[in-house]
Amino acid sequence: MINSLLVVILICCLFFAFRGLSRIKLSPLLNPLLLCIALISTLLLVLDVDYQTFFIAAKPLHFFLEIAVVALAYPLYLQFHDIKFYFLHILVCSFIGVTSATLLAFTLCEVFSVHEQLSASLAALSVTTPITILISAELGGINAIAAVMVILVGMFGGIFGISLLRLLNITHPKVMGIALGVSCHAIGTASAIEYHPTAGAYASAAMTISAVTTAVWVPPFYTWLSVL
Amino acid sequence: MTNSNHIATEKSGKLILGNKEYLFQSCFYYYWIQVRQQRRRSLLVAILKFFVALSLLLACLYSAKLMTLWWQVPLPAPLVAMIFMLILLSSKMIQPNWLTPACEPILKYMALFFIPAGVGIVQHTPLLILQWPLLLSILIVVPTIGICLVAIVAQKGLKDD
Repeated sequence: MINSLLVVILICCLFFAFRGLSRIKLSPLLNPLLLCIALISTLLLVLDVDYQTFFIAAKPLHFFLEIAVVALAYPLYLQFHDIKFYFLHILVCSFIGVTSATLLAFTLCEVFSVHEQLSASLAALSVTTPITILISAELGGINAIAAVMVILVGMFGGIFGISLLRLLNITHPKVMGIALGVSCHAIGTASAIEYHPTAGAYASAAMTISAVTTAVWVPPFYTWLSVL
Repeated sequence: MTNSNHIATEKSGKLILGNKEYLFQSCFYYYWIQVRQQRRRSLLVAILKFFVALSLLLACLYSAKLMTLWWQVPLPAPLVAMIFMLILLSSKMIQPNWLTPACEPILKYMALFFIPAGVGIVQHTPLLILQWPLLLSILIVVPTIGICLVAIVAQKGLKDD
């Protein structure tokens, strides 16, 4: 109990310290989550602490993950009036984005002929981390690899996304928002908000819709692919 | 005299007029007590509101968990809970501002909750060292193709409107 309290307080302190740091210097490279994971992992390795003991101690934080998924309903409801006309459109886009991400990841896994467990944890990479963790657990993948890969994919989108879209000659804020929200989830959404408020609104709507699409569509799609 | 006056003021929270010379002082004191009480009350109300909102979310989550267990729904329970919550919100059974006190901080600091799961990577360092070319290529290919494809599709769709 005391252990758990200490660990949670330590994690919170580290997280808020890194968050403050990333506020001072706005850069997607200084992602507080990734920095925290890296620092705590090295701490565990250096101090030679077993991961299971750490996880049991940090369980209260992990518990909030599921609540956070339920809480996603709130922003989606608030935005629903603004995006009502584009709802079907965003749904189609997110379906295409999610399918292409799963297909690409699966093909690459087949090319490198890796273990099934690893390819299951890379099945759903373009959605918010809580959904990815849920889906990879459902498909028998490794939670931690899924979570870290999702964050890295998001960071890639956050750093290069807007310049990539400019390269494609796409400057419409709605289109940019949908593209970033579907393929780069929360970190892409953050960069979209920085770029343009409309892009931000569309990105967060696209992110939530693609989270639902992924959770419904990816598990059957992935099992179908692996049977083939 | 002053002391007893102040104690009386503090206890009742009301202004008791004493000597004229202390009027200004006690007015100030009265105001300060009011502010302090109000602050304390608003903090209490904020905490209460947070827990009401949190318990709504939890009720939704656990009813969804029961439902998925009961009917063997092949979807993750938190997602069912989210859809359930969306239905409740759009049917006006729950007002969105009931949820605001819990949802806003939870969503703002959502990244904090991934740390325990993410640290699990320490268990899989050999796998990472072995498979880094795959992970790197996925890291570059998936977001690039995803962004381009979705942007092109989205632009086509918006032009049709």
